[in-house]
Amino acid sequence: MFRRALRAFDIFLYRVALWLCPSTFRRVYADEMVRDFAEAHDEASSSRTGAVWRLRLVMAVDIVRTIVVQWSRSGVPVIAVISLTLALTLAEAAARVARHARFKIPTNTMDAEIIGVLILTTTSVFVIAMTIVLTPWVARPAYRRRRSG
Amino acid sequence: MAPLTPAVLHVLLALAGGERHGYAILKDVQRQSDSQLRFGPGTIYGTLQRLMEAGWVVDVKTPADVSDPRRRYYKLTRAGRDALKEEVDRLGAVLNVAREHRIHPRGSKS
Repeated sequence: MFRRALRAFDIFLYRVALWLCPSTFRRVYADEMVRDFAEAHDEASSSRTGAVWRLRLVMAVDIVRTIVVQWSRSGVPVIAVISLTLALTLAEAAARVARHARFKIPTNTMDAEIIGVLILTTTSVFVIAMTIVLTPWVARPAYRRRRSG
Repeated sequence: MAPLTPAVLHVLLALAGGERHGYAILKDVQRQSDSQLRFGPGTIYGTLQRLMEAGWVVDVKTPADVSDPRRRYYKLTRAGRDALKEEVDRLGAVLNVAREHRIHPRGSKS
């Protein structure tokens, strides 16, 4: 009874960890991975003591590595770096223009804070916009399952 | 062609024996490496995904006589088999050089 509950809990944890993978990978392979995990768990449970703990360790390392690899393959880090670089370049250019502009930069603390928030918001919006624009360009073509035979 | 990673090499070797599902590949890799390599499903399916994108592996219809019809089966393509042969040739050449230097694999009699 206790073993079964522990098995169910381990499978639940594994399924939760899989949710940290990109959806493109998860949608295709998550079910198979959970089935394999369950089967490996059953085998470990019926073998010598400590096998389940060894399995947990191997699976934990494997899932962490998978999350990192799959996210790096998804192109998201590239998009983030390009977006951030463009946003910071734009912000710096705006700051240079503002330095030579005729309007006065407010010395009032309250106004300066508002402008700070505005710059931060604009930069964030720009990063989001660039992410949306760049995603189709950077992301790999969707994996199409080919069935033969 | 760049040398294959251990995961790619062992998955290709497992599939060289015929169509297999993911868990059978995982068990085969453990057997091949005498349990030295302990890959999890994430590594196996991540590798299969890359190999399918490269056209070295395809998934095939699940055979009718299997116990779990939900399992997806994978098989090697001609390109995958060629890549595996190329890698085995490369490893063979490395082994020959090692033998010339009187370095033999553990357990070999020569």
